[in-house]
Amino acid sequence: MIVDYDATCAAGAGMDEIRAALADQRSGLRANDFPGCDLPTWIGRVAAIDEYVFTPVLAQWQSRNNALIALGLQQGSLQQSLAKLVERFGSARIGVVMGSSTSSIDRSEEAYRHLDGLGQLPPQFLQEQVLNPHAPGLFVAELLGLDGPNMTVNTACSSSAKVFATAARWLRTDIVDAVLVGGADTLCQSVLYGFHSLQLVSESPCRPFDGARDGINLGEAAGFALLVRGDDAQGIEHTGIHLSGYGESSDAHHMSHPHPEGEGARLAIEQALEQAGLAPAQIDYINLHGTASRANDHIEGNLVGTMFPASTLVSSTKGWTGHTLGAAGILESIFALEALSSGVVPGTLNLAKVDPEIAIKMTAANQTADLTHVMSNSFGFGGNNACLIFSRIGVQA
Amino acid sequence: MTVDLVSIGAWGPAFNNWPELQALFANPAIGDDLQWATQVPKPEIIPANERRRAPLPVRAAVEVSWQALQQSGLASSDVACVFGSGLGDTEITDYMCRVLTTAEKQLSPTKFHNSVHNAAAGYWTISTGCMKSANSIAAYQNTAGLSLLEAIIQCQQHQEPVLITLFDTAAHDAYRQIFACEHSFAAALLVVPAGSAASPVARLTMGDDSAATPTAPVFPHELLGNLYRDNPAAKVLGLLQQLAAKKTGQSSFTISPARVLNIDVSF
Repeated sequence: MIVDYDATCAAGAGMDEIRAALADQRSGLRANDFPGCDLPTWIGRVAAIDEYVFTPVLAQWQSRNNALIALGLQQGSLQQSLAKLVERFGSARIGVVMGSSTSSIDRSEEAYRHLDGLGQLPPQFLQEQVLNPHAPGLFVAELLGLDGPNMTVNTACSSSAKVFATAARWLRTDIVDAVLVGGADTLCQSVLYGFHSLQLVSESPCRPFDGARDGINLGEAAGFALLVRGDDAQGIEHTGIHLSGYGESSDAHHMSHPHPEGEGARLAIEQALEQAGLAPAQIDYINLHGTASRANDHIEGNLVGTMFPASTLVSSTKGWTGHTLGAAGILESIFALEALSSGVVPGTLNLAKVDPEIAIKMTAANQTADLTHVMSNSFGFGGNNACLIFSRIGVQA
Repeated sequence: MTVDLVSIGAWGPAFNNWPELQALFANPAIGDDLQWATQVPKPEIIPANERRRAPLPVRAAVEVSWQALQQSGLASSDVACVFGSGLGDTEITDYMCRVLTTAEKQLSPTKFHNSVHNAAAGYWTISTGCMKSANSIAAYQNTAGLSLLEAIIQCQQHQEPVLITLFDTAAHDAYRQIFACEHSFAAALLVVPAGSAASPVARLTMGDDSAATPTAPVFPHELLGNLYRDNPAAKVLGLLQQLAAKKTGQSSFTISPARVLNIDVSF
């Protein structure tokens, strides 16, 4: 059962801002103004990160990614909801599963810009808790005083979708009573220049599934959700939504190019449906991975168009946020949860006309619909796929 | 929760496989003779042209995974995998950060896609045609414990074989100031649902976690102790030593400041 969730991304800090941006179709993308990067592209930047100040006691945790995490955890009722779970179960019985692809590599980049004449790092950058790939999990535990099992999933762009699968398994096994799952990735030169080197970055605002799409926009985001077992949910205020199925698979094809027929993605979707006990026609909305790269959208769009009937609404929300990499899984799951609660289904922002080579129907405009089961797809480098299904409770599959 | 361990792969200073590590536990003087030299692994399962581009952490992880898979007699297509690395690839991170201090900032696209933490999982699934779930976990010094926890739970809940591969290579260049990790190490353990293997190496049962700080294992050679202390992946050495000695009992892993994973080993 999902107790609470919140997110921060270019479209807004916290659900109130994000909800308004979704409803008004207001994109968070802007022409690239990221410091130290003059690539001609658009980015989904969270301006408030730059205003975050680490208190002296947290000074050794400094990084852009950690600042975004701190900002993300200030939103909505996340900390109040968590406090109630800590009171009920104890902090050692609350797991932390974060997802990230960059962790805090932004801080490594900065450290290397300050190497001294002997190639040594200045003392303020000797941050072993920050310059390792588990930095997001460690910082969350530090900020919130959580001391249950804690790990960071680093499977590139599927990272923070897979955190839900791990949380579900941990809860079922009873090694914890609640799990804080999250995802956080910040813009940094590594990803901007890295995706540029792969010729995957668009010079314009990204146009998922459009015939004229020509690449991705990078973005940054942090998202969090609190999960408990359904049996324990009585007496806890919750969203009325639960994770009803997950699927995880590999493409076994290529490090940076998806399987041409989307075979890995199909396996993940089939597993998630089977676990939820649902037929494709029962899925009311799918938040697609939809990066706006030529390959992803062609493969994913045709796969989903084949597997699901036209009555299943689909969209990509990357036009609001950019591709937030390791945070995309949870951010877009949260968009799907929002659609489930509000009945407002986001359109595919920036879409003029669906690519005629992609056999799928979608609209740029938002729609309203009564939703029961929603799905979110996430695919990452290394051919790493995850698919999640969320359902409103009290509805039989 | 119980699973059966069916095979082990290992690579590190003075050992290239599990039999050599067993020999080292039994006779640590071997390590003195070899001066703890590490040969770069050449996992034959990765096609030669791909192998040349594969960074050391990937080679080490795939090598031990391949050793374990071959001994198990299982097909890679049936085995899900959980890869765990506490430090990631500090050589590639160093490369990227250095290039990004230059005016051109021109990153190699291959090095960029190899920089993901799940590069080893990617190379493994691509090389072996495995389409099952592949995870890539970091938990800094607790990486071995969390990876074992995740894999054992997955094996039991999904009733499927799971490969656990732990790997960390020596800290590179400026990262040596941050991490004390001087020696590279990788190990793989392949677990299957309890009772599904004809002759398992051992039975592993997740025990009560009420115990406080786990006692650090004692090793017959100082360098093995240092490896255990400094290399996050090598936190599995205590369990491996116990398996080598065929000693029934508990092996413990810290999984948080307040929690311990105790694994009961029986034969």
